[in-house]
Amino acid sequence: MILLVDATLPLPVYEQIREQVVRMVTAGTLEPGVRMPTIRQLASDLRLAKGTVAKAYAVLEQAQVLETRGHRGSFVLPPPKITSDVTSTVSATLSESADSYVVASRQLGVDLASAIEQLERSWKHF
Amino acid sequence: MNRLANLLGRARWSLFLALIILSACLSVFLMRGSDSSAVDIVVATIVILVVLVFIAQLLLNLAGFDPDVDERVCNLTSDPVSTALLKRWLSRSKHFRFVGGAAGFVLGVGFANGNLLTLLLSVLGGIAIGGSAAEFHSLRRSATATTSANVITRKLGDYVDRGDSVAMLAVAAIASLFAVLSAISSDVQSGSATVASVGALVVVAITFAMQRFVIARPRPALAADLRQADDLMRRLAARLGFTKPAIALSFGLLAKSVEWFGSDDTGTFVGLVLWGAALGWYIASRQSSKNLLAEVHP
Amino acid sequence: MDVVESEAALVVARDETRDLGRTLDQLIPPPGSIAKRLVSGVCVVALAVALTFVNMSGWLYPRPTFGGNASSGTFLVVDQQQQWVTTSVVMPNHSSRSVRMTAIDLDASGVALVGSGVIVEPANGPTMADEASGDFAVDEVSEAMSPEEMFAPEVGSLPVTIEPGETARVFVRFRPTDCTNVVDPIGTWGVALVSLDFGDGSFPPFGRTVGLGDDPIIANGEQPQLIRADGSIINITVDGQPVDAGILTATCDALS
Repeated sequence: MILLVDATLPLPVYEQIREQVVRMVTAGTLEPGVRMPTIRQLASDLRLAKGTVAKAYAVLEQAQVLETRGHRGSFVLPPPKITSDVTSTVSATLSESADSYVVASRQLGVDLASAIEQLERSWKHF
Repeated sequence: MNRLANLLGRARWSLFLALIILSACLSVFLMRGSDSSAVDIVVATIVILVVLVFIAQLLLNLAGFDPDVDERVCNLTSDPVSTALLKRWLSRSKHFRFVGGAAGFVLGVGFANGNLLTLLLSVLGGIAIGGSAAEFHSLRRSATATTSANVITRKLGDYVDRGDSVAMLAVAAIASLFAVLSAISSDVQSGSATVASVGALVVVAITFAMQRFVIARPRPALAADLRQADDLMRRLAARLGFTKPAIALSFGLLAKSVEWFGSDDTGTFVGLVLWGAALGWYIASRQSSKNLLAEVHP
Repeated sequence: MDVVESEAALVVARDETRDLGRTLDQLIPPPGSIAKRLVSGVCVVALAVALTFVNMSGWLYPRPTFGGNASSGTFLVVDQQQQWVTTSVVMPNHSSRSVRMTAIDLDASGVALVGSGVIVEPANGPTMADEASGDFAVDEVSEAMSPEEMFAPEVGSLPVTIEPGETARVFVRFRPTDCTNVVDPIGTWGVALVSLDFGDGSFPPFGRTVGLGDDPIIANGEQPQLIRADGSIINITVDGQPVDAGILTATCDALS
C-alpha cells in the first residue's frame, strides 16, 4: 500500500492523503484493524510537516475511517458499507489515472511500447 | 575500493619487499655516523618496518578500506539488492567506527591520566559515537515534487534486539541507584561516582533517541525486496552499529562508578561483573561475519 | 537483430542499475572515494591529537599538575625556644601556565598551624629539593636557609606566582596541641592545603592537597628527619636507647 503526494497540485496535501487512504480502505487493500504508521513516521517518509499528516489523520478519524487509540496508534476501521461500489470505484480511478498517463505520454511524443515499458519499470519500483 | 583491494592482493609481496628496502634505507640513514653494528642496523630495520606496516594499516583503516566486505555481505544474503545496500552500510559503518575508536584512543591518552580502564572507556565511547555518526547522512532526494511512502508501521521492537533493550533498562536502573547513593554520600570521591553514573544514564538516553531516529529515518515507497533490505540495514545499524558499543560503554561507566564506592569484596565483585558485561557487549558489537550472521539469521 | 537486441538489453540493464543506484541513494549515501575517506579520517584523528596536546600542555585550559606527596625523608626543623616545628613540601609547576598561590593551610591531627610561607625556585636551577635529596645533607640545608629566614616577610608572602617549570617550596609551621595524651596517627599524618588560581581569575580557583608523609621518625641517624635549626639531629630516646617514634611523640619529645 503506497501513498503518493504531490505538493505542486492544487489539491491540499492532507486531502491527497485522505483521498488515497479512503480509496485503499474502500478497495479493501487496507484492511480493518491494520495499524497506520505514526504521524511522525509518515511525515518523515513523505517529507511533510507533522501538522499536515496530523490534519489528514484527524479528518479520517472524523470520517470514521481511522480510530486513534491513545499511544497505541491509529487503526483502520471497517468501511461502513461493503461495496458493490468497489469495482466501479476501482475502474473509475484506474481509468482516470490511465487517461492522465496517456495524455502525458502523447504530449511527450512517446510511443505505446515505450509507455508500457516505463509503466512496467514503475510497477517494479513499488 | 575494489581496484585497491585487487592491487594490494596481487602486489602484496612486492609492496612488502619495498617496505623492507625502505626500512633498511631509513635505518642506515638514521644510524649513519654512529658506531652501529650490523645487528643494530637489522634490529632498527625491523623496528622501522613494524612501524611502517602499522602506519600503513592505520591509514588504510582510516580510509575505510575493507577488502572483506564483499565476502561478509555475500555470506548474509544472495539477493543483489540487499547485497548492494548492505555493502554500502557495512563499509560506511566500519569506517566511521574505526575513525571514532582511533579518535577515542587519542583523547583517552590525553585525558585518562594513565588509567588504562579509562582509556578503554574512551575507545568504546569513540566507537559508539562513530557508529552513531554513520547514521547521520544527507540523502539524495528524488528530483520530482512527488514523495511516496509505504503504509507500513515501523516499530522499535522490530529493529532492536530484546536483550539489548533489557540491558539498557538494567543500566538505567543501576545508574539511577548509583547516582542517588553517591550524591548523598559524604565521601570526597563520591562526586566522581555520580558523574560516571549520570554519564551511563546519558549514554542510554542518547542510544534510545538514536534508535528512534534510525527507525523513523525517511523512506520512500519501495518494492518489497528493497524494503526488506532497508529493514535489515536499519536493524543492523540499530544493533551492531551503535547500540551494542553504547551498552558496553555504559556498563564500563557503571564499573568505574563502583570503583569509587570502595574496594571491599562486594564492590570488587560487582565491578568485575560490570566490566565483564562491558567486554561481552563489546565483543558482540564487532561487525565480524559471525555477529552479522547471528543478527541476520537469529 | 541479435546485436540490436543485446544492445537494447544492455541499455535496459544499465538503466535498471542506475535506477537501483538512485533508489539506494535515497536510503544511504553512496560511498565516497578512498582519498576522501582518508582525508576525513585523518582530519578527525588530527583534531583529537590537537585537543589532546592542548589539554596535556595545559594551553587551552590550565591544568597544572603538582607533586602529590612530600618525599619520605623530608626533614622537620624543631625550634625549642619558639616551641614550633617547621616542615616543607615541594610543589613543582608542570603545566604551561603560571599559577598563583593564594593560601596555605594545614590539616593534621594533634597540631595547630602557627605560620606558613613559600619560596619559589627558578626553573632548571638548583633547588633545595635537589640539594636535600640523595644523601641527606643536613649541613647544606641548614646553611641554605634557616627556618626564620623561610618566614621572612620579603620571602614568599602570599599571593605568589609560580611560573611554568618553577618549583614552590611550601613551608608550614605547627605546634602540637596536647602533649599529655599523645596518640600518633596511623598512615599519612596530615596534608598541606594549598589554594591556587590562574588566568587572573578567569578560571575558577582550585586547591591541591599535599600529603606530609607517614613515616615514623627513625632514630639513630637512619633517615633522620628531626633536626634543630642549627642542623643537628634530634634522636628520640627512651632510657637512653634510641627508639622509633610517631610524628606527635617525636615532636612533643623534641619540644619538651
